[in-house]
Amino acid sequence: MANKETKEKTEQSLENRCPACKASISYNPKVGKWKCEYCGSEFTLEEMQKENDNASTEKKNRKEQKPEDTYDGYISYKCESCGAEIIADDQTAATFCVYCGNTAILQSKLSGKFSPDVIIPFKKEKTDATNAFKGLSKGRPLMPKGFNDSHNIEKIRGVYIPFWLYDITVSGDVVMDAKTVEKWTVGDTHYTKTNTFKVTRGGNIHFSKIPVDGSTRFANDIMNTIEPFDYKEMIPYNHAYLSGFYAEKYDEDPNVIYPEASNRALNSARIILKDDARYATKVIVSDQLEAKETERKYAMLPVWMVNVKYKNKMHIFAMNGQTGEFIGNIPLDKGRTLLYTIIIFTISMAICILISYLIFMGGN
Amino acid sequence: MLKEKMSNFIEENKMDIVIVTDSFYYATDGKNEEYASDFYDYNDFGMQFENYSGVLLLRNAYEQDPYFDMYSFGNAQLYFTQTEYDSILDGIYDDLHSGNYLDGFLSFVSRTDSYIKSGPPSAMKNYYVDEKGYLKQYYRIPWLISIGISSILTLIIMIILVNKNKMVTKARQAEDYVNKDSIHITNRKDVFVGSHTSSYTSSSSSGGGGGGFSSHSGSSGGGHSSGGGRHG
Repeated sequence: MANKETKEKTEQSLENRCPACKASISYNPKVGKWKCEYCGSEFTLEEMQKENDNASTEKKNRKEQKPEDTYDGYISYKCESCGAEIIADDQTAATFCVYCGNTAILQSKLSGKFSPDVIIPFKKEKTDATNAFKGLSKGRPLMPKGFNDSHNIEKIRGVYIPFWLYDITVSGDVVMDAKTVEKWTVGDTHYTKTNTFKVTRGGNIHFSKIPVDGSTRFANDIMNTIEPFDYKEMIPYNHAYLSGFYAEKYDEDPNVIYPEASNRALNSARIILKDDARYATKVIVSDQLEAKETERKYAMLPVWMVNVKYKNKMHIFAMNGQTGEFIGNIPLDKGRTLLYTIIIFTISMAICILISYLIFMGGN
Repeated sequence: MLKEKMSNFIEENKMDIVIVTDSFYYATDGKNEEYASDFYDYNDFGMQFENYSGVLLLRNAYEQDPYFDMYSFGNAQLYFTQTEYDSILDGIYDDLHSGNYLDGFLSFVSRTDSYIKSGPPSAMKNYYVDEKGYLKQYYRIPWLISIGISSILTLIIMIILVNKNKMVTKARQAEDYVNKDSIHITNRKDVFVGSHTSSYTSSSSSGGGGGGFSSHSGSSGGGHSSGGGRHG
C-alpha cells in the first residue's frame, strides 16, 4: 500500500501487447497502425482494443491498488516485461523501462480530470526528426560548421505534449482615427487634401481550438512556433496511441493559462475589424472587445523533442510530430558572421564605385 | 594705355585677352556666346598658347541696355567659376553703364589678371582642360555615399541572415484559428470629422542671368566657358 509520508506509490501501468505474439508493440506513424517488431504483424485500433482491453482488465484483477488523483512526488512502477522497479516523476504519463525498453502508460496520469479528450497521432518518425536536424544548414551560412552533425544530438524523444485547446468568441467594437488623402495639381500648384474620420467596426468572430501548452516543462514559445497542427486528423483519445512514445500530463491550470489564448484571439480580432475599414491610415484609439470561452478540450499533440549539445551548451529543437515543422534557435558563428559582413560590405562598395564610374563616363 | 595693360597681361599670364564691341541682333544669349566663340577662333586668338588659352569680353550694343559677357578659353577656364565671372562683370557694370568704357575695360583687365595670378579657385581643383580645350572633371571616388549605401545594404543583408538562425517566436495572434464563416461585422460607423488642404508651388526654371558655368564647343572645335551675361 502507499506510504503517504514519503509520497511514493507503486503505479499500475498500462501496456499494449501484440495480439499475435504478445510482445510489446508500438504505434507506427508511417503506417498509421500498430506494428509488431517481432512478428511483423500490423493491427488497427479496433483490433488492438479488442486484445488489450482484456489484458488490462486481467491486470486489474491481479492488482488492487487504486491510484489517487494527484501526487506530489515520484511514482514507482513495476515494468510488466522484466519486473524492474522504475521511478518516474509526477508529470510523466507514458515512458519506457530503461532496462528492457518496454512502454509503460501510467493510467492514473491519464484518467479522471487528466483524461485527454482528443489526440493527434504521430505521423513523423525519429528518422524524420534526425534528417530535419541535419538539413538545418540549408540557407543558413551563419550556422557554425558541424553544428547539425547528428552526433551532437544528445537525446531525441517523441513526446505527446498536453495542450489546452480553447474555442473563443470575441465580440465588441473597435474605434479608429482614420484618414483618406486626395492629391491633384493645377498648373504649378500641388494640392493635398486630408479627410479625417472617426470609424467604428464591431461584431463577433469565432476562434476554434487555440492551443496553449499545458506543461511547464516545455517552453511556450517553442510550442507556439511549431503551430499549427492539422486538426482534421484529430481523433478521440485512446491510450493505445501512446505506445512507443513518451507522454506528459498537464500541470498548468487551464483557467490560469486561458489569457494566453484569449489575448491572441483579441489581437487577431482587432486586426480583422481594422482591416474591414478602407482608409489610407488607421489607428485604433479604443476598443470594447470581450473574449468568451465557449469550449475547452484537453489534447495530446505529438512533438519530437531534440536536445543538442554543441560546445558544452545545450540547444533545444522541436519538430511538429504531424506536419514535420522543425524549429529551434541556432547559435551564430561569430567568425562567419564577421567574414560575411566584411565580404558583403566590400562587394557593395565595389558595386557603388563601379556604378558611379559608369555614370561619370556616361556624363562625359 | 589699355593696349599696354593688355600686352602685359598676355606676356605675364601666357594667354590672350580680347575685348570686342559690336552691335548685332540676338534672340538668345546663346547667340552672343556663339559670336564670341567664333570671333576668338576665326581670328586665331590663343594660337601661340597651350590649348588656345585666353579670355574675351564681348559687348553687344544692339539693345538700349547693351549686353556684355565674359568668355574663357583653353586653360583660362580653370580660373573662373560663376563666382569669379559674377565678380568681374558686376565690378565693371557701373563703368560700362555710365559710358566710361575705358575705365570699364581697364577694370576688366586688372580684375581678370588678379584672379589668374591668384590661381585656380578651390572649386576647380578636380578639373582639367583636355587636348580639345574642353573643361573636364577628374573622376573622384564618392567615398561618403559609397560607405553610406554599403553600410545600409550590409546591415539589411546581415539582419536577414541572422534572423534565419532565430526561428523561435512567441505567438501573439490566432490567425490560423479564425473560423472564417463566423466573422460577422454588424456595426459599421464612418463619421466625417473634418478636412485639411495644403498646397505648394513648384518653381519652373526662372530665366535671368547667371545660370552656372558650363563648357561648350565653339564652331571651330575648342571648348570655352562663359559667365552669365549682363545687360546695362
